[in-house]
Amino acid sequence: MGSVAHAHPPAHGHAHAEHHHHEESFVSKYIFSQDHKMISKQYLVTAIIMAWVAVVMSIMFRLQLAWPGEGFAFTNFFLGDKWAPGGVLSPDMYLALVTIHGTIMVFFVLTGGLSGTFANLLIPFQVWCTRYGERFLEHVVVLVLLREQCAHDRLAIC
Amino acid sequence: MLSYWFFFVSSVLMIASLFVEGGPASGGWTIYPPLSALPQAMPGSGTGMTLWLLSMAVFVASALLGGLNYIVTVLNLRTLGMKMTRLPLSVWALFVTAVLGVLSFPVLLSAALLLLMDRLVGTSFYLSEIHIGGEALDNMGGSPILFQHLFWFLGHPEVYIVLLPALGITSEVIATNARKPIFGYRAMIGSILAIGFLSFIVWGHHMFITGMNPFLGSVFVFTTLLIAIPSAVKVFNYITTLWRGNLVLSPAMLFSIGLVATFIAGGLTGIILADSALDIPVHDTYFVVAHFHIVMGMSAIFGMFAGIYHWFPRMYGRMMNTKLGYAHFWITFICAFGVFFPMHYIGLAGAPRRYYSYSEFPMFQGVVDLNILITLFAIVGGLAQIIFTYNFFHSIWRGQKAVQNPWRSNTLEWTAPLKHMHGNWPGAIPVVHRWPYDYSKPGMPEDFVPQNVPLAEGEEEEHG
Amino acid sequence: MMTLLILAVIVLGILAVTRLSRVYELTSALRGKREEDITERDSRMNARLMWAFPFAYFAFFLWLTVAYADQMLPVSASEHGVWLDDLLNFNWAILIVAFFVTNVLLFYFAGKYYYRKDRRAYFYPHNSKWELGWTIVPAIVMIGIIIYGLSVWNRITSVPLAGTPQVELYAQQFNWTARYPGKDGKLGATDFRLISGTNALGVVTPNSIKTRLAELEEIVVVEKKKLETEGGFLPPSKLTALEDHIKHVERMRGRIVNLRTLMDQDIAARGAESPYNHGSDDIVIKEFHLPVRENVDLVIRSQDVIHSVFLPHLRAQMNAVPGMATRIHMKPTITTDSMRTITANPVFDYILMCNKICGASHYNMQMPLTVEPDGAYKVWLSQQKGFETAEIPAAEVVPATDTAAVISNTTANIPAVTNEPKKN
Repeated sequence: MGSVAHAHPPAHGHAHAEHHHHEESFVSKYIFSQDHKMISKQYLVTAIIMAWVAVVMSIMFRLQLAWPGEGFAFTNFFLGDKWAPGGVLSPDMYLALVTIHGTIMVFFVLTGGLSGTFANLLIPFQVWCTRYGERFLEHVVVLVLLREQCAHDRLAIC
Repeated sequence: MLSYWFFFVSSVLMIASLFVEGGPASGGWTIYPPLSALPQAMPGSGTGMTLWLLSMAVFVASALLGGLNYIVTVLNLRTLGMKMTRLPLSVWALFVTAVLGVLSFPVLLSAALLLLMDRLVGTSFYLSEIHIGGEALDNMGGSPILFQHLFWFLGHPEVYIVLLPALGITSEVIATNARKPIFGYRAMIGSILAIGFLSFIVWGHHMFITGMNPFLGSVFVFTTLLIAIPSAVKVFNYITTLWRGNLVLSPAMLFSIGLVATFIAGGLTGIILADSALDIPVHDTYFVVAHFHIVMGMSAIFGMFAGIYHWFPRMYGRMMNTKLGYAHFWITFICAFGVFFPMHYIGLAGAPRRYYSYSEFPMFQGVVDLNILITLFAIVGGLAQIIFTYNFFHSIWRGQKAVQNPWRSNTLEWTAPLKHMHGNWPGAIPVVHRWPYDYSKPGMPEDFVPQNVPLAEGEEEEHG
Repeated sequence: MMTLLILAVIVLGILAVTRLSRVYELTSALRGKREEDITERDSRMNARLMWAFPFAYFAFFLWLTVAYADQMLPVSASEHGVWLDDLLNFNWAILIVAFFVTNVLLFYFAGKYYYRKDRRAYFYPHNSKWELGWTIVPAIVMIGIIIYGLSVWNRITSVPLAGTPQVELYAQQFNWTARYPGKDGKLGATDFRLISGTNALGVVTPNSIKTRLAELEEIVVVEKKKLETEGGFLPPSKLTALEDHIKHVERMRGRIVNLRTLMDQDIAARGAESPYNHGSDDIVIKEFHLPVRENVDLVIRSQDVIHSVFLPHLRAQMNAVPGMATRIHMKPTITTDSMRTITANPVFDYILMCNKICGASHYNMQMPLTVEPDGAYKVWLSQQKGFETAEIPAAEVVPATDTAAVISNTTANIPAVTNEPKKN
């Protein structure tokens, strides 16, 4: 049931407020966090890391396109002698780089990173305005019991 | 939480695929079979491809979990007074995005699973009459085109899954920093809904030259070009929002204006590509690369940057450095056009995409020097992201402490204490009395009125 | 050297940025300036840049357009290409107007209305007339674009006239093969199971079936012998692979036998009209010639993965999909020789290139196209040998131009030659 059932109704807000101020362990605060703000940060930082992977890839294939067949220590540093002998990108790796660059940018940065960060940050803040966990069961519960839940919480139009 | 951890596992799988024997998937991000189905076809179609597909399957699970959560929250768990017509446009956009994701990602999952079966179990969903590596394969009766239909049934909504949140963020940032209500709030909602709906019936425009029935092609031309209408409405509404505003040119605002510029440049070339006849000579050339990088890549990235600069104080309780933000914006903005604008010309000269080198073709010798220009811009633009990354991580720990509502914004997140706490509000959650765009409303003392402020005596509620 | 330079620039850049931002932070802390205070000065500076930017942007646009005008594709060499070019110009005229108008408005407003303390923004939430206006105007423009675009599309994709001669383009990793009908004017049937070193396209004729069956028979015999003599010494995985392969070849043979039955029935029923009787005089060749001012119906097939026939000068493109035949028809209008004059390039050649990612040598999967007067074309065609009368196997015919690097034979698809990156 989790946070939805326990989300404090506005009228009783103060009674429950204390309950939320207990100290959290590192794991529950930063890793398996149920807090939408932390989930949003996790998405954002992951996306930034993935974006860097994709940017470095793009620089490698851009170097090849601008100066075809020339060797670059930059390319060799990341790909090693197997895929970039003498720093010259191999045709197979060229195709791999454009493929993974596209995949990472489209799915991991601009879908996961963008929606994941801002939907988690903004939807609870701008709409629900209360604690927002995300557990699988919770989805089911919300879908099945929404009317009672909303009546209970005196939240808006359901 | 589960959604993020699926996302994380999926990222790890994708990164892991870079290190396998034979290299990662290399059939293009659209992974068309048979190239991606047959390990004989290229080294990247071995283990790397399998990991790619698994990673995507996990990613879809993550997207679905997240999407369901967002939809349910927006539909059923709005606070008192938060009518659908009082939702900030950011939430509207994220909501429609989630709907698109929930409806289209399962199709990618099925496409990926069928491809996985073709690869591992020996089925023939996408394979027929193939002779490769000196052998005729047993597979008969499948169709590689089926995969393209399934893939693009996700793939086109995916474009808007990427773009809509950026447009939503921009609407919010532009209104706040123009100190002016977003122009045509309801028209904006209408355009988001129209784009969301149309995005499901246009996928065929990626497949005009696959031998698809020409009449079917015509239908897709029609639906695709219709999308230009809501897009034009959005652009004009943004421009009118700037008109006679009082523009606080913060880094977030600059990125939002940048988004409108890239959205225009990329959207217009989209009209060429949507026309099936004109698609024939430019399909799969650099013209396409230029188009989608500008309209989808750059617009969405700019929207993301705008969101990060704008909500950073809300996320970390500190401010990002504004001067570095300016440097970051201007270098990125100029390099974005420097990289992708010349690509149109390479494409119009007939140069195909995904070519390792153009030196085998005398006809491209005149335009390939543009590649050097592009690469130089790309390197500078890439370096500019170091400024951002430094600014981001430095500000998390060392940035100046933020105040409660630094951008003097109306939306509810700025009424919650900056202190990190579960439940966001220590006491009762706020009740909403007005739409989120009461900026510079005549008769009000301040140039902003947060949504939780009750209507004043005799004040009319604005509906946009 | 280049890399060292870049690395040095990166390192120095990072250092400079960190130092500068530190100095900035210290000074702004001293002055009590806060990050969220976007001062009038900051806003004005950015507003001026917003005004400057479109000048640079449009200048870049004009420079590219003018400087690279002669590098764009030359005049269209096909009939439908001219229609396409007209349509393209029509679209550009509309789009460039829209591009300038919207960008000028955007950057003008962004630069003009920057923040000043004494100003207040104009509260203007909506205006139904305006909104209706910019819904209807784009809608009307779109209707125009759609109608014109679809009328061209319908003309291009119309059914070819009866009797339009067919030419087949056949794609495989990483080269092209053309097939011309012989004296009977018709292409023969094909089947991928008949593909072999001597029958690169798998043309079905009574003779080719017989040859292929014999070949497969021989493979089975050889491999069974290998199984008997070496079977005991092979590691289990190789043993299974060998057994599987034998089964596979026998399956293929069974299917070819079925195909032969089908063929025999069809020949018995239709006689000379049967497509199985059209194959033996087909010309299978690694050269691509088309007659000028004649309609031609291209039949496009693929052996392995998806390729794409891309003829940029003829404004033609169509995917080659394994398991199906796609078709485009067109009429080339300018011969290679005339185009050499037009482009002032004595070595100009029309190029057929692959435009769908197909593997490592995708970037070099090309074949020149010669468009020539009808008479010359007929002479050229008459000099070519039919499929079953050719003295050398079609797969080993070396084309006249120097594309030898791309030629790989059908039994070894991994091109060892082209995997080496080209040194320039």
